[in-house]
Amino acid sequence: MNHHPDLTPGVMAALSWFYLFSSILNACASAYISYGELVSEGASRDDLGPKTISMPAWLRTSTWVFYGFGGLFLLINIQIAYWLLAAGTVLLAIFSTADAALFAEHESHDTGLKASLNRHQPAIGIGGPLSRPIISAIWSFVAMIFAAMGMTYALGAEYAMPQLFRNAIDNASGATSFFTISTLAFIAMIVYRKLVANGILAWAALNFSFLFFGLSLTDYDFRDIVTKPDNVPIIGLIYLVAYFTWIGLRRAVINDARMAKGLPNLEELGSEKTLTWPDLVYTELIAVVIGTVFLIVWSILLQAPLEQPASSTQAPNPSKAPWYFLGLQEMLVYFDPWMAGVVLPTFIVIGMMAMPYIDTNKAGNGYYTIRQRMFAYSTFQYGFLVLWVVLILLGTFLRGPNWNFFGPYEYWDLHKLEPLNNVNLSDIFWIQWLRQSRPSAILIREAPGIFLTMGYFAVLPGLMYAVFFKKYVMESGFIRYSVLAMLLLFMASLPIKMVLRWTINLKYIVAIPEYFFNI
Amino acid sequence: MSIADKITDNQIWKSVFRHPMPTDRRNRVVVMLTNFFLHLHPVSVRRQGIALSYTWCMGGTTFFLFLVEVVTGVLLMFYYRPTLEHAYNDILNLRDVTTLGLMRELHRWGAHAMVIAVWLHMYRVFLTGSYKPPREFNWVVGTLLLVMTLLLSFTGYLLPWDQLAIWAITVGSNMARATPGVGVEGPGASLLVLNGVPLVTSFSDAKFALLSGRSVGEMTLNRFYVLHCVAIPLAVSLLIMIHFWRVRKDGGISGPM
Ligand code: HEM
Repeated sequence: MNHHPDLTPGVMAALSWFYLFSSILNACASAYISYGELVSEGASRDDLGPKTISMPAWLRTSTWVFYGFGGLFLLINIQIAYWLLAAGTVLLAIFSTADAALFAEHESHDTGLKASLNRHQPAIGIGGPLSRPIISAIWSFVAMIFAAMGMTYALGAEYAMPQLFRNAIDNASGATSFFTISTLAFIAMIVYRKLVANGILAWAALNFSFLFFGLSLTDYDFRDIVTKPDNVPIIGLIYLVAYFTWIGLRRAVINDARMAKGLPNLEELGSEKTLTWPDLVYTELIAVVIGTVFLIVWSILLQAPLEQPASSTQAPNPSKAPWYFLGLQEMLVYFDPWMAGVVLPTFIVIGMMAMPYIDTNKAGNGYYTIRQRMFAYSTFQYGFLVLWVVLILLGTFLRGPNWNFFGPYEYWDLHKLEPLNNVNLSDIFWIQWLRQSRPSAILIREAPGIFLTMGYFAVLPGLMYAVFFKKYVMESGFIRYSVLAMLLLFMASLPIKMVLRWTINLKYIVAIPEYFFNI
Repeated sequence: MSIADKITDNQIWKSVFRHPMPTDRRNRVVVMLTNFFLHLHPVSVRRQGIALSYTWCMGGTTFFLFLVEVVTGVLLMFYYRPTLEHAYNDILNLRDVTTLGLMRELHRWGAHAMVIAVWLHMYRVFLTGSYKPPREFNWVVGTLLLVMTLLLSFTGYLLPWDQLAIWAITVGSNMARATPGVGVEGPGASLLVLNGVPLVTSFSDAKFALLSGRSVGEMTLNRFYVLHCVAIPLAVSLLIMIHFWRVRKDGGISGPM
């Protein structure tokens, strides 16, 4: 018997629901585009006409009948519920698009002009008008595909991700590629932010992530790691961070475009006062109810982990810190504990506290903007997204026994060997370059590294000043600049050491193990 | 007289709620001033400042989760004894025997959610530039809250006393051993010698102070229990009070000037 089956009845049932859920989301997106008022952010609702809805009443009714009975059957027979909900979703997808087209036709017929309302005008800064029927049709189509995939699993088809595909991904992935691609993706996001801010692209990306996740779940090893109870919140973290990054970016793009046109930004539009009761108090009440329900459902569905009783002699392999510290644990690959575990975390905390005092840019206070604070925005965001969150993902999902790297579909083999042929700078300098044995006096032996490190902290600030920060020092003073430069250099030290490790296998720049002083 | 009137039209009710249901403008103002919990809020707020698309509701969510942790945590304390003999079994019983044995799940998932929520809150405050004057200090208070939240979670991780717990704490606290100057394996510690006697040993270094022992043991459990259930929650409570006070005193939730 196969103890590591890719597909089990339980997994297939879960997948059928997962795809149904993705399908419902897309059908709702289609309906939203078709029937929603679609007032773009910042536009006024006033001059938009009422939105007429016309479609065969029986079609509309039957959707809700399917959904209604589907919801009911959730409590009685889960399989019947599945098919009812699936049927309702397909109907919803069909008539959303049909109505969008019908409505567009009415519009141009009534006005004799090219229809305006069916051309959704996105917010200022997000691009040109979009055809509602077409966009609606796209999401309906995606909804159908997801629904079909879900039904396939529900009917018992055993489709797993092709092994070829898994091997290709495993082979392409590594700590190097994972980190490099994340960094490049981050840069692309900032540079092409106008495109990213577009809801269509973001929704497409979401759909791709569903597809990727659904396919990946057919792999035993992937599932084994992702569904560890303590790892489940991290999946939530990925989606939440991605969503909020996108929301922030979108609002910043809109604001930047508005301000460039001399229009008030979105936050200025809502600056009038409103009474706390009921507007805020009721929002809080609803949030509390949602939060409570959410936590209770989560707690019923997923049991808190409890492993074997503690044993101080049997260390599990890998031994991992709690997930929120795995970014720091990942840094241990590149730095000794005193740096990764003490100095760098201290600098993160101090740096965060110092931030309001060194960011003297007055613009961008109380509203989203990227253009007005490009440097602060992208530096902090890179730190949070890539140096913190991405490293946590790497440490959680892709680091296995002995902290070796494993591809997402790779079995965590205890005996995987990774060649370790890292060298210290002193080896490179004395042995490879000067072709002599290393001097025995520590300070002389390590002189190259010590000079390099001192140069890094002493020379670079001057250089950075001359090239980038003249204006900043004039305005904000020398002390602020020194703090800023130190923080930036410490932050940059991590990617720098990563690159040095990947390119020339460098272990330590300064290596004085005699005093536990390795950099 | 309707039942609702009967409930509200008596001395007891009126002594608790001084004013009728806030349905008109005057009472909507007054209720914010006379209710202890509501007076946390100002009477009126900028519309944009309470928009979900602006705050993401993440500060409030963090606070909500903190309260959930306090309530479920107190319930867990009724059952849990922080000793080597009992800790693990008490957790087992909480799962298998206790009525409403959901408290541990609520507490653990709430804790994870709180860590995520506090990060997202910080992220939002950054993205809207809300740490800029006059809110610099509240950002500093917030950073302390962030650290405290992580420490709360970290100290709690040990309490179930299973393999996951002690090894995660072992990995985490091994870092303390390498603290410069005060950890045995930290740079510089071996230079601190007085009359030939090393000052920093594995019995006196930072890791020892953290674990109250050379490795994770019963005294560590006790120490983490006290930190987790008393010391850090008190500190967080105080900091949250300051944090909320300052949100008000700094001019309410930020917005374009
Ligand atoms: C236990 C942790 C925390 C709690 C319960 C908390 C709660 C809150 C709440 C309820 C608000 C009102 C506005 C909102 O909901 O966004 C707020 C605002 C604020 N928080 Fe926090 N917070 C916490 C941690 C932090 C952290 C980690 C930071 C930053 C490092 C921070 C910085 C701020 C700042 C600067 C404001 C004012 C923002 C504005 O006016 O727009 N807080 N906090």
